[in-house]
Amino acid sequence: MSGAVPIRGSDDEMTHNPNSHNSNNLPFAMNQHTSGSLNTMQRDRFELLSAYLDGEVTAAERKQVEEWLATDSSIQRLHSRLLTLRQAFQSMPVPASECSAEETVERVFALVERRPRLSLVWGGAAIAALFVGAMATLFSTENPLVPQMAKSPERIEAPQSPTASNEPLLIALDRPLVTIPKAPVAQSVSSDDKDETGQNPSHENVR
Amino acid sequence: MTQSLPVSWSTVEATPAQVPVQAEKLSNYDLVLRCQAAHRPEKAAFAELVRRHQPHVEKVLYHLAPDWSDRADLVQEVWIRVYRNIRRLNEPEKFRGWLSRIATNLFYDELRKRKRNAPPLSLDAPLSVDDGEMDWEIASTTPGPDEDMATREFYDHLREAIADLPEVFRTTIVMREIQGMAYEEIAELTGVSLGTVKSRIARARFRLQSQLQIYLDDH
Repeated sequence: MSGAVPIRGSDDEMTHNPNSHNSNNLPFAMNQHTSGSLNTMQRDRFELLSAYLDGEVTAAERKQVEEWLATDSSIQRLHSRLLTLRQAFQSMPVPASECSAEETVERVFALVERRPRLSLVWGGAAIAALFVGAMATLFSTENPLVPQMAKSPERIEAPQSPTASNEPLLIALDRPLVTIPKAPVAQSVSSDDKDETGQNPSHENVR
Repeated sequence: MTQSLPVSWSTVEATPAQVPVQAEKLSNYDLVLRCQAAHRPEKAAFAELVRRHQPHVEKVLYHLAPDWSDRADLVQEVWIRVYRNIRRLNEPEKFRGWLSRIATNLFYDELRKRKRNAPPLSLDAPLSVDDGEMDWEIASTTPGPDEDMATREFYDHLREAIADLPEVFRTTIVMREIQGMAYEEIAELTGVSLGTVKSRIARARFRLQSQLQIYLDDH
């Protein structure tokens, strides 16, 4: 919306300047009868010529402009002026840059390479966070074991009386090695022990 | 992981074959392809693109923002955006147009920021900055051997006249004359109708041609 104001402003300049300055050079000399409607006509024609220059016209419009160019010397002059303007616009030198292409390349690479390094740091941090997370999950898998331990005494205590619960503890302390594997292991170990204790020490002692 | 390995191997195999061809001898199209080959653009190819197109980027930004003193930073930012996004350019033959759009988009990003941040400066600053810029231009512009005084004077006036255009007109005519954009593209970029683009370009031209009439008729 802010663009609307300057458009009107330059519109006025556009129509007043040529009328006041150079009525002899006026591009659209044939349209100089009354100002209002003719100005819009001039504007439309100029716009069409401008669009023609950019190749942004329909076939009918192109035909129309080419007809003007063939017959109207003021349009011809305006056309060549606009062509010169375009040529100057494009060939006009621009102030030399402060920074050569080589310097630009070095700066760009220095900047973009620094940024990936930062991302590596973040990547490293993310990996570290993964480890922390993994450790946390390991601990959390152990945690369910703790409540189970906490629950098991309840199960034990529930069926038995508080006084009876003390006795299994004492038994458990006495019998940890005794339970299931004890019978076969005890036999084999005891037989081996007999052989070894009977023979080996004697050999060692002899030799 | 198993899929990414063959890809990296293929690039490793491909690069030694390309090394003998020097970047300076490649077409723009091939330079872009080479920049797109690896995860990050190859430095030699990227540097050659910068060397070839830096003047264009500078020219575009110069005309879009004649009174900004930090254009060198903008130029650099354009190339950083190119570096990051070149793999997304699907049509390498349109590199120059794509580059122009990056520069234009950056200009509009910056323009929005500056308008938001520093509106009180707009009354005083442009005049003084303009004067400084013009002095600097004259000092640093080295005339070519066949560039006579009249031509220089003409260019100086043209530069001044372009810089004096209201912003919307200047940006629109620059997109057309310097960047060679079609009306439709300009309309899309600036968010106005095709008719407005057409009208703005005509008005900008009209003002320039009436201000520079003496020089234009001489040529």
